[in-house]
Formats: sequence, structure tokens, C-alpha cells
Amino acid sequence: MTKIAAIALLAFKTAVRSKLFVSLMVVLAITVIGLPLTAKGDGTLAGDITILLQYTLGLAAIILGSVVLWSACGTIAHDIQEKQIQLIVTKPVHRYQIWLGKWFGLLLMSAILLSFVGVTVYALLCWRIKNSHADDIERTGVYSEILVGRKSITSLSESFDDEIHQRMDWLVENDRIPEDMPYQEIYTKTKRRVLSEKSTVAPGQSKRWVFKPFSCGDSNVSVYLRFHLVSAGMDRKTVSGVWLVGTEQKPDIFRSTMDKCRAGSHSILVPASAIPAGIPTVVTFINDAGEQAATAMFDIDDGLKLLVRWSGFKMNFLRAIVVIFFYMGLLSAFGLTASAVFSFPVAVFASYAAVVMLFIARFVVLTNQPIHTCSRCLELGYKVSEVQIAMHKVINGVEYFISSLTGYDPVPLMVNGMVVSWEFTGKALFLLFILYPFSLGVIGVYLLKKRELALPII
Amino acid sequence: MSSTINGEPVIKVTNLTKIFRDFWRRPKVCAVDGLDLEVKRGEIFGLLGPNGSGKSTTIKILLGLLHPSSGEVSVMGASPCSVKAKSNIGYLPEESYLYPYLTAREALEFYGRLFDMTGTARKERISQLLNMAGLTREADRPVGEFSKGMARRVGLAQALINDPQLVILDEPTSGLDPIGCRQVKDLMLTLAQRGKTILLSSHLLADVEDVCDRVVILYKGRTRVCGRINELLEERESMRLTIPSLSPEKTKEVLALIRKAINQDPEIDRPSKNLEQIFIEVVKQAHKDSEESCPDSVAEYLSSD
Repeated sequence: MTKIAAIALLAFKTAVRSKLFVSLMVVLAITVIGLPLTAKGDGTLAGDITILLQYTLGLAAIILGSVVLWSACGTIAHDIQEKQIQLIVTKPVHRYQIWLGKWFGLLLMSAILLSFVGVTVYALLCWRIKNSHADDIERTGVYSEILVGRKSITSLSESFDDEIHQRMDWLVENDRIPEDMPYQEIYTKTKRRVLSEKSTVAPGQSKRWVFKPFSCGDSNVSVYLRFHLVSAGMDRKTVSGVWLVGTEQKPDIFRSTMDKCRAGSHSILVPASAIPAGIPTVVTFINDAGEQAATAMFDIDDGLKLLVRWSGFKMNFLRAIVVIFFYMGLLSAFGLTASAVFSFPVAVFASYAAVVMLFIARFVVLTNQPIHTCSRCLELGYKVSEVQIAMHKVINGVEYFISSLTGYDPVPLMVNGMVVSWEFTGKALFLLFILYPFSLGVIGVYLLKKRELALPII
Repeated sequence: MSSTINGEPVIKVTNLTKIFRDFWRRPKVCAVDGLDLEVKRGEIFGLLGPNGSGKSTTIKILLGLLHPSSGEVSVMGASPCSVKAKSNIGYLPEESYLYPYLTAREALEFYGRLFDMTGTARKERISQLLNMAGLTREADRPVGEFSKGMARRVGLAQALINDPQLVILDEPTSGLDPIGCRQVKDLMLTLAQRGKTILLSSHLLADVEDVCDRVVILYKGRTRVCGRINELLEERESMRLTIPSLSPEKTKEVLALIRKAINQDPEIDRPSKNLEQIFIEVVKQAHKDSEESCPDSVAEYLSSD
């Protein structure tokens, strides 16, 4: 452990005593302090806090990530280039101790910089709230919708497979499908159509959503019912109706009237007393049937949610900073492994290219449509080749891998007042800080062991 | 010269070949070609040869910094890549390769930690090494600000911090002043007397001649000459007789006697000091005059059993 600690301290000193570190501190100070002081929000306290969290913390994390990756790429590569590694590997030091020592050193640097960012952002946040001219209602809104960690509970999903197949049968029987249209496309379009119909509530009609049992913890805690209206009618722009929250037996424990609601995201405050303990919660929307009534269309992808307060902002913020730190650990490991193989410029290029490709690939795999295979589709003539299935599995694997790397950004969660839960933090810890860095470390150590460290660098 | 040599080989190289290849794995240069070498415990062994003869490549293979293309290499009875064996090896590369932003003390602290040395022992050794290197006053200055000679001294100190059984020195006197060179040579002799093995690579033949027991001369990666240094240097066809200075008359008489005995004119000259000896005497006297404290020529722990 002494050896790892010595190498870690050296890597930290290398990073800290470089000009890059000083420049970074200046850039971070400008970003963290300068940006929120100069950027103008929408004039509301919520707007100011959103800027502080989304742009300042988000930008600081990106800058920090870039620098950590840059430093990591240089750590071993510079040692090899400047030949200082020759004095280390001729001592009784294992290659894994070198890799781990360097990684810990970079983590120490990241921890210090991130602490500086975190403390500064939090201090600015407190200062903003204290010096704001916002009234009590606005402040309460900020505390209950942004400066909080809320858990999102989504309604139980329903299966519409039978209905989709019935619709497909009808289309085939009535010769309504163009000859050249693949069955996969027919299925996807039909499913989309069925789902959108199911998310539509015509005037005078109602729709129910069922949520699995959950606990609010405290009876004083408020729950928010969040929904996203895509459009409100064809020619009318607003929807009016009534929201009911309760149980199967008593669906109207809580009742809220919605008046002339426009398209967009909306929240309704529901008292915790309306949420039954231990049994499913039922939410019902009854659309108005009057002359001015319009059809309500809810978003298919961003469905109805119940938002329950789960933790305070302080702990939420702390967990978010910890998750960002895990990302720094992953970037450090990536840069270190690159620098164990390549010279500094090549390692930098390869690492940044890989990060850019990862983000591009994230958007590419989003277009990946699920392959639907069922007996009914086979009857209709839709066949999937082995190659298609294999390709789809590969793309699914890539999609899972990419989402496991990019799906732990805590900033959007915080900005929306959503909880950065312990479960989320734990998963991020396992994937970003243990599994992937360990795998990269194994590769890096193997390559470092195989590499002739006294070869001239071309 | 060392008197504690025993038969146990510390370094054994058999038919070593190293071929450097390009990116496409095509052979580019054959740096070492079928080298055989054996260095025994307690020996000071010199590795000589012109530039590009394969000296540094051989040393780097012995340290596991390069991998041999073929042949067998054993250092301290183990593979050059063995981490355990490296606990007993000290290495000074051709340039010191120190971290420029570390102070001399920090650098030695760092290398000491790599040997898992305890805090007290490490501090004690660092203090002795800094004194030996004459850098006690400069201990807290970054190495990047040092002259080449000063950095070389720190490099030498780091090579000795673990009191190694095998010391590999690549051009150890390069950049050092004559006093530093003398110190290094004295140090090598002291270490060899304690049974340590030293592998020395140098261009400065006088240094090698002063300290080495055996040498190998390499050319284009191959052994050209290998043997004990006194045997290689000895001229068996002639001998030198050193006597106290005589008057011109006595000199004539002695020469006449010798001429009669060998039936040939003998050569006569006066033994001369070399410039190194004069320089050291002058500087030592200057040190005494200015009442400055002289650094220890060898750190205490390196000279005691």
C-alpha cells in the first residue's frame, strides 16, 4: 500500500504542479462564480437556481471531466516519454501498483476540484435564495419542486398486444397495407396508433391510471401529480376537467379541478392523506363535456407520474456530486489505460474520439426499433431472419452498454427536483467506479506489462 | 579492485540477441547479437564499447525495460521482470530521469517508499545520502533547478537508497566534476569490498581502468574482448622499475648496469601525477582553507557491514 500511496501522491503532485491545474482553477472559478453572476434567467428564483444547477454545475463537470481525461492521458505516457518510468519499474513495484497509484492520484485531484465546485455552487445557491426578492409562494414552489429530492412513481403499464393484433388483422383483411411495407413497420405504426388512442380522452370521457402501492413516509408530505399534455383538442387550445385520486373502492379521496389547461407539463399538488397505504392508488381524469370541451391527449413516452418527496436537497446534492466523482473515476481509468498503450498525443486523440463517438452512438442506438416476434405476426407472414435477430441483439447490447455509461447524469435529475437515490448512486458506484475502471485497469496493466518501456517513442 | 569476488553469478546472460523492429514488425537494427556474459558476486564489471555497441540495450534487458528477442537472462537468480529481485537492485540510468518539480529530498522519499522502507530508516538514509551527495543545503530545491552534475548525484543517491546487492551504473560519472568522479569511484570500491556487485557502463576508460575487475568490450552487439583488466592491460614484453630520485652521476651508473645486464638501452622517465590527483589535492586544500565541511565520501550505511 505504501508504494501505491507514494505513486498516488506523485501523480497528484504532477497534476497540481502543472500549469494546466492553475489554468483550470481559473477557468473553474470563472465558470462557477462568474457564470451565475452574469447569466440572466427568467427573473424568477426558480430560473436562477436552474441556471446555477444546470449550466454552472453541468459546465463545471464537463470542464473537469475534460481536464481529468487530459491529465490521465499524460500521466503514464509522459512518464514513458520522459523516461521517468524507468526509475519506477526498476524498483520492486508491480505494474498494477503503478496503474492504481496513478488512478488514486487523479481521483485525489478530482475530489479536490469537485469539492471546490460543489461547495461554491452550494454557497452561491444559499446566497441566491437568501438575497432573492421572491415572495413566500415562489420560495415554497422552489423548495417543493427544485430544492428537493422526489421519487417518481409511474403507473402500471398495460398490455395492448391483443388490440394491436386485432387492428393488424383488420388492416390485412381490408387490404389497407401497402405491398412494400415491412411487417415490422406495420406493427410499430399500429402499436403507436393504439397507444396514442389509449392516451386520448375525448370530451365527457374519463381515463384511469393505476399505481402500485407506495409509502409517502410522512403524512405531512405533499405528492405531486405530474402529467404532460401533448395537445389539447384539434382546434381548441385548452382542456378542462377533474382529477380524482383515491383507491378502487373510493376513487375520489382527493379531487382537483383543472381549468383551461394548455399543452405542456403540469403538476397538481395532492395531499399525502389521499394516497392509500399498502394498496394501489387510482388516478382518474374526467374530461369536461360542455360546449367548450376539447379532447385531451397525454404524452405516450412521458406518462403520468406521482412525485413523492424522498430526501432533502442537501443530501440529494451531495449524492449528485458523488456520482459526478464516479464519472471522473471512469474518465481517469480510461485515460490511464490509453496512456499505457499510446504516446500522449495519440492517447488524448483516442480518448476524446472515444468519448465523442460514445455520445454520437447514444443517439444512433435511440433509433433502434425493437423486433417484435409473436405467433400472430408469423401467421401474418412476418418472419425474422437469424441475422436480423443477431444484429438486433448486438445493437441491444451496445445500447445497454452506452446507457450504462451515459445514463447516470445527476444534473437533469436535480434540476427537476428528482431524487438522486441511493440505489442510483449505488448502481453508478458499481458501474462507473468499480466494474468499468476495473476492466480498463486489467487491460491497462496487461498492456503496460507487455510494453517495452525503454523503447524510443516515435 | 575488489577482493571479495566469489564464484556465484549474479548476472548470467546466454546467447542474448535483441532485434529492434519497426511498426510492421520488420527487423530494423540488431542491437545485441549472441551475447554471453557472467558477472560474479562482489565483482566490478565494466561494459565498454563505442556508441551503438549495445551496452545500454544490454543493461535495459537486464532490468526488464526491454525484452530479449532470444537468449536467456538471469539477474540475481531470477528473470529480469521479477519484481522481487528488484528489491536488491540499484540502477542509475545514463541520464538521471528525475521528476523536475520534486525537491531532492522528495525524490529520495518517493524512491525510498517504493522499497517499502519505514519512515525512520528512510529519513536516516536520505539524510546520509544527501550528505554523501553534498546536497544537504540544496535538499529542498526542485531537482529541475539543479545542474547536470547535481541531478546526477541525486540519481546516484536514489540508486543506493535500498543498499542494493547489485548496482547497475550507466555512465555514472557523466556530468560530475573530478571530485564527484573520484567519490563515485571510491564508492564503487567500498561497495565491492562489502560484497556488492557492480555493473558499470562507461565511455571514460580511465574510470573503468581505475575500478573494474573485469571488462567486456562490445562492438555492434558482439563481444570482442572479455577478461580481467590487469591481464588485458599488462605488457608482458617490458617492465617498469621505480626507484627514488638519483643524482645525475648515480643515474648514469645505474643505467650502465642495466644496459650491461639486458644488452639494450633502457627508457628512463619520471613518474607523474595525473591531473585528477592534482585537482583533488588543490580543491581539498581550498576546502580546508575556507573551513567548509567536506561531504562524506560514502554514506555511513553503505560503508558499514
